[in-house]
Amino acid sequence: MSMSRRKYLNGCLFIVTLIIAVSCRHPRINADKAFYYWRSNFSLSEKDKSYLQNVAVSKLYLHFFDVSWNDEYNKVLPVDEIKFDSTFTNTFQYVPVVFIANKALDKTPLDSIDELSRHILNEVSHIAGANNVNFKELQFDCDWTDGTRRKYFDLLTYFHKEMNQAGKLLSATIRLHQIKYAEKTGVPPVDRGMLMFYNMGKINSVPGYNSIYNTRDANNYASHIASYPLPLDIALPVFGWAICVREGKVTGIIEKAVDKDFSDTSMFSSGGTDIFVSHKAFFFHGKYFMKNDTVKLEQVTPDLCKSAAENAGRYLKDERRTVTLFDYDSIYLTNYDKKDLEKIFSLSN
Amino acid sequence: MKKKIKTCAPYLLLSIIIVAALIGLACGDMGPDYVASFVSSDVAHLNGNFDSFFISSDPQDHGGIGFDVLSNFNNINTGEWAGYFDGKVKNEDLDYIIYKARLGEIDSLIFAVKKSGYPLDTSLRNCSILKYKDTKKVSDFLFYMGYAKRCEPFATQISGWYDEDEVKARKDSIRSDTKRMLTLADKGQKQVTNAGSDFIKQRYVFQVLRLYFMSGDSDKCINYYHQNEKLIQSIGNSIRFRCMGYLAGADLKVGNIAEADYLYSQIFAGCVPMRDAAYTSFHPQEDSDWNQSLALAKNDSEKINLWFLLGVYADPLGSMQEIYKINPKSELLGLMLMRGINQLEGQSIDTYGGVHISTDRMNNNLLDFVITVAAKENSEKPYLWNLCAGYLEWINGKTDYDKYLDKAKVESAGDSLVMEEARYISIMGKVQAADVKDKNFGNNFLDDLAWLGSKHTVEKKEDFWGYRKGTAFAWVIECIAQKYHESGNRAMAYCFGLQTGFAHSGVLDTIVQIINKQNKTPMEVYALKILAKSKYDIVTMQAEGLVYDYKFKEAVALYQREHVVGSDSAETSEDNDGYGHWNDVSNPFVSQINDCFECGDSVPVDVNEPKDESLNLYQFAQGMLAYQDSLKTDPKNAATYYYRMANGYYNMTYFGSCRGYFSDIGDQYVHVWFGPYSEQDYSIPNVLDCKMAEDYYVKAMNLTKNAELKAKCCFRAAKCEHNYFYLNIPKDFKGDFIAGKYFAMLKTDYSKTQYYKEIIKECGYFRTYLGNK
Repeated sequence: MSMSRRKYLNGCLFIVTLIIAVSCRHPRINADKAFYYWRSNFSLSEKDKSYLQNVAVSKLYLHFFDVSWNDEYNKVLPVDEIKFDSTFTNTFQYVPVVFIANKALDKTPLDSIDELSRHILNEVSHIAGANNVNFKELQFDCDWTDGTRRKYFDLLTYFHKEMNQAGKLLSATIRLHQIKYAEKTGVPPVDRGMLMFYNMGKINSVPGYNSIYNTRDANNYASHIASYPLPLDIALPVFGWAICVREGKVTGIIEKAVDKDFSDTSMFSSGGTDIFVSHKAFFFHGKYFMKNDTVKLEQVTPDLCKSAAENAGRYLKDERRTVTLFDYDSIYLTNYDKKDLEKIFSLSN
Repeated sequence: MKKKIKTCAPYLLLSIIIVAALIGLACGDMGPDYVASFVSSDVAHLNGNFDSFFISSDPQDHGGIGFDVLSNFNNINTGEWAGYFDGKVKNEDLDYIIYKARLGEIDSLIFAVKKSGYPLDTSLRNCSILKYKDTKKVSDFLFYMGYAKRCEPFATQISGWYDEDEVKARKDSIRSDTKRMLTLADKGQKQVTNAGSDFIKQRYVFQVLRLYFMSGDSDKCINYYHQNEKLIQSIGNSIRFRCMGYLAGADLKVGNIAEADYLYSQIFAGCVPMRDAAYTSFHPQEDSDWNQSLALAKNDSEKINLWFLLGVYADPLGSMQEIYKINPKSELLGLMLMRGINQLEGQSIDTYGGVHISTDRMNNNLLDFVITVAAKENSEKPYLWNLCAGYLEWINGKTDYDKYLDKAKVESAGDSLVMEEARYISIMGKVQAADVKDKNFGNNFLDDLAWLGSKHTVEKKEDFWGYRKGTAFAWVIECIAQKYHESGNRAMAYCFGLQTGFAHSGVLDTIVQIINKQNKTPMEVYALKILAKSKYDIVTMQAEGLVYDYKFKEAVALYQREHVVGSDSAETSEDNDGYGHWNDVSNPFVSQINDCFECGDSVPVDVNEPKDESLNLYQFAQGMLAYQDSLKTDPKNAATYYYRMANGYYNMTYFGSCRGYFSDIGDQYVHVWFGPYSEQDYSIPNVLDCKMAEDYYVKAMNLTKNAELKAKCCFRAAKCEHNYFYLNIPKDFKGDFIAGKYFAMLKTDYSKTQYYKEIIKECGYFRTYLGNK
């Protein structure tokens, strides 16, 4: 085939794709609006409640606890259990979320998965019961591997039965690579998936590159969303962090960092857009900086989040779903006004 | 741009002997992994309590401080109680009471102390504590043990799973039973007043503190500590540090990070079993925390402890500079220096495929500081700073390193480890500086190499000290190889380990010439020793090249010309195990249904085929020639000869049973084992090519009238075809495989043969083919 003919056909293909993409954008159905609440101590002030109600949030996903392997005791144990303050009320719908570390699954023999599942169920029931948390849905979060898939899916199967018998839903977080390689990674046996539409790139020191969300990485995965066999909710990012770099190598991350954190000129000077360079050795936000270490700030601005929402909306099936933001934190949300959030929740730009 | 100095081209492959030596040393009983280091911390002669800091030079590793904390604490605790009883109560009895006795047994002992003749179990009757004269002290001990055992579950509990009963009953588990903890704490407080000695009082205070901490009441924990601080600090035992540990934990919980970190630094310095816990808990958040921690230090020693922990935590050089300002004679400076050097080595030396030093991450600030301290001579161990200055000068490419090394030798008063270390560095410098074009190259360091290459050291620390020596030796050998390579002497470079793959070239010829030389130079003699291959090995390597070019006649002639076959061949020589002969591969003229390397006798041999005996390369080449001759002299059996030759051609490929024929060629075998179908494969000609085998199977198949042999040839040809498919799988191909013409032929023409049934039994691919068809 000649080059010119190929170019011509490619051009036609592009136009056809564009037409299909545009014509496939349905008017969006209203979504259930939600936030992840990813802290160990649950405490909502009246101001928080009023903010959430003002933006019509009806649901909060609560990090109940992690299931992890304890080397010291040689056991799989629950850690970082959520604590509720005394003012807790069922103002919103709550979805307990349990994170399972792969090592915990690795270390659990296949024939002990039911036992582990019972432990987890008891733990969830105890926490929910002791704090009067009513829930209609339970969610698991696990970045399963080839090696842990069978065990994780067995665990989900156990919970699927238990939840369905209790008239509740079971959901699981789905990462983008699990969407793209669904045949290889498998589809979890749950009622719904929560697509985490962020953390899609490699954390690195490259200036200008945003590993939390960037359109280029997103588009590597997005076209596979429509064909995913589970009904999908979607989680979008409203957070940021700072990547610490020494001699070109990433040495750590400062969570929940914003640019004003680096405004003290006795410590940092600007090294370009969202880049800061340390002048001397010092402790800062739990990290030790040496002279000439750099910090790269990665944040999801309202515009970027809207772009992510619009991009995801383009590929998601048109059905009722929950759109949730990760996570509920005023440090970042002060940058978002009500209109921003409305657009984001509606998955349109 | 990354710059490398000190030799070592990227394709340098270390000679097997050096690698083997390093692996052997690395796998010694000492336990640590191979460390890319030329300097052992032993040379600093530091307090043994810090040994655990030096088992790794990994900068991410805080020194592997983790050891058996529990048994350490148990021993210390028992020792402290033994001191309480003036050593007059047996340790084993104390151990039993402290760690094993049930509460009922403690109560029985209390009764027995109060009332002589109280009936006791045999196991308790002979307890030496009952013979201790001061019964008040004994009672205090036993009452305290009873209390401690009641407190223990609240401290040793783990945050486990709720069991089902608890969930149903909505009962709190012990882990959240703060009411019981606080009740126990109240009782403990009363006992502090009643106890007869500060020793016991301090321990009650510890139990109460721990209960407050476990109950989550950090303020109570902090207040109670400060109320009893004088008592806690009055005895310099482990309990003092454990109390400080709970205070630090409570401080962290209430956000008093500065005091917590200050306490952790003091615990880190003063209590060896708690060092790991203190290190992992030390986390200044902001510089203000750190400065406040420093302000809490009561004296220089405490300040040094803080700076020392910072050095272990993050910044060895910054730590050294501050400690040096406070007290140049601090022993911790030497320790931090060794950590700094080892960390630098961890960043700058890599041992992948040899020992390479990269200077792009060299820290000139460290060098400057070490030179300054060395010059001032006011540290605790001036020799150590001179030794390290010499080492850093050399590693940075400076030429005046010897003056520091000489000074170190004098200042250490001939310390054997220092003398050895200085000698390593000098030898490396000497070899590096030598000119390979000089006709006397090597003469001034050959004796040094003999010493460096020997396993023993003056200290006879073969496993630990020795591997530093091994690293230096490996580096020096590579350095020499690189020098020869750069000068164009590829044969000598090859001998010293710079082996660029399959040696078809004149390199092997030159090595044979060196071996044959009567008047070898000392470096040539040494090079052959390093090469550790006999003439037979080298000739075999040459012959391998010819065999894989299908030049069997030339291969046989080569063996004969070099007189390495016959009674004096290496086949029976112990020196040549693994290089010259292949007793572990099966007869290449025999075929098997399944490809099976080194299957040997375990695979059934076809009737009428040659015995399944091992043939070496020379015999294989001779066999191929013999079959070639037989084709001419015995044409009526040509089908059999073609078939056997086809087996030979097939089995010498990667897929055959005798791929060992090429596995010893140069260093290519590494790729062969791990990447059979990868893109990096083979400079070895024809290793993956089954075409010759296929042609010969087809010739045999066409000539023979024996249906069984036809079936066999057809199946073998199918294997060749199948291998070709796997080496050239079309892009985006999905499925198992594409069957070729020979599978079809087998099904159509040979389905009635016995061999056909065997194929179905043994070959999954063929079964798949039949099933899918």
